Amino acid sequence: MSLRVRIPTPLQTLTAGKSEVQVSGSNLRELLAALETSFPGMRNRLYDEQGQLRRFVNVYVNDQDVRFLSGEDTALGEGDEVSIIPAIAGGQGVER
Amino acid sequence: MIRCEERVVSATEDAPQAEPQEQRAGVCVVSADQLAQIEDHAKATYPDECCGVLIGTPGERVVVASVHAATNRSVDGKRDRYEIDPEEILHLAHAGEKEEHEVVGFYHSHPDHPPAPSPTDVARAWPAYAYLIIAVDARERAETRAWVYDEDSKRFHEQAIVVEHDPSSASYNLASDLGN
Repeated sequence: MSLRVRIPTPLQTLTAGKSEVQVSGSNLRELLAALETSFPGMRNRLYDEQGQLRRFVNVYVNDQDVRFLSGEDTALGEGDEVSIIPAIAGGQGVER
Repeated sequence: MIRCEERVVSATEDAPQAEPQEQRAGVCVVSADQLAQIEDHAKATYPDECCGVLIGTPGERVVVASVHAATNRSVDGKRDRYEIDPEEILHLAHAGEKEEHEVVGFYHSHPDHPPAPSPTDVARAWPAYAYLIIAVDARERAETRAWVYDEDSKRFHEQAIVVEHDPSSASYNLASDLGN
């Protein structure tokens, strides 16, 4: 079952400039593994050294943050869409 | 058409200065109306930081099709921090698809500070996005510069802002309360 995955601009160097790709997976973990297989280097951008999804990477299934679903165990079905949204923040202040 | 010189800097006066170097950072194309609208947003939210999303076409020549004010949801204080709700970005990304546009960058203001990336901006930067930073002060003077983050050098490089006077392409959407 091939699902649509939206790729944000910072990660499009790994997808030859494509803003959306099709990969398969019955849950998010499988889908992201398939993403790495098809587009090497993606895993390193999405996961930290402990194998957890990076804090500053948000993943949505349809319009729901997977943190409020089942995380990487979130089941995926026909017609589901996955979106990767970088966390955007900053400002003139010092780090604290 | 107004063209700003390309130059390379790494951060504000609170951080080490970059050595001058030649490196292309591309071009960010905006309309005069879009530029006025993000600067007006910065003035309206002063002394807090404003923020927003740029929708358009990515690449070496980023073309901004529309700008969208976003809610500053920083929990560390809005005077010198900004944070954009990823759901706002998600919805804007979806909406942009109808025109074959995508999220190409963001803007935020630096009240009483230069329009250049701070160490905090560097720490939270993503490559390939256009970051417009608006310096604004109590006298409502505003200056906008564009930046793109390079992962290899771990620093921002300034993009030239090209202002194209095309009112038909100008589009502004207030996605949140300007009062932030």
